Amino acid sequence: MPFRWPSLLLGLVFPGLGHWMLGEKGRAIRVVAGFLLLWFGGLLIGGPMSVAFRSPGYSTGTGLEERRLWFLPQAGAGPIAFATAALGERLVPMGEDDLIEITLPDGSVGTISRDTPIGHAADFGTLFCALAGLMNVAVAIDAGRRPEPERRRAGS
Amino acid sequence: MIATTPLLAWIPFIQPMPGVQSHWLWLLPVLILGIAMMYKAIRVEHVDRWPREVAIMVGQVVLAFIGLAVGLFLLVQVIVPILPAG
Repeated sequence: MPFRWPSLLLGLVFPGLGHWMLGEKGRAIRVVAGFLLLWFGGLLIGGPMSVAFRSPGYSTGTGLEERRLWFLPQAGAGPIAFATAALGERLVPMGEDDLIEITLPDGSVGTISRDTPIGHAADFGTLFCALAGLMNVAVAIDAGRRPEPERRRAGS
Repeated sequence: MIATTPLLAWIPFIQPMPGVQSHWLWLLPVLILGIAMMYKAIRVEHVDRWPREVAIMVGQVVLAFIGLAVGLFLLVQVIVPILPAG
């Protein structure tokens, strides 16, 4: 059976959409339920900075912003990941009263948002969203490999 | 700073969840549940069995974590101290 690239791509556009278009609506709904738990669980735990394109300078050791490797697995969630990362940058309060001073890796004093996640909140927020993205890639591949429902019923 | 944010003052999805630093272990079952929900959604033959399969997988993984924790605890706290030094 040839691999169904459209199903894979649809699954990457939105979780469960590949299965939905194959007629596997029950599976698609369950996939979405799991995805929403992981994705919004991560955002609930770590805040909007759980999904970000770049690591801020204070966390890289060089003092410069770097590409955030954790965004790669998170990008498996598709446009949702990019929209969340873009929206997250605007959601973090950066007003004068929202900033606190920190010591940067080079010893100078910098400022970050008071709502920056640290420690386990940052870890788990990032991890939840990363696993949601990775699982969605696996789900999308499954949609590409899945035979049509009629064919499976005839074969069973 | 984050962990001391009062729960009532917490703004969900804007601020990190307070109390995670000291209670992070409770997040593991939730994480496992989410993974199991997605994994079993594509693995079960009949979706009617999905809730049961998810519950079983969560139980298995949590038990595996507990087993690893107990094993490592015994290794570090019991076995390593009785090993001859030097």
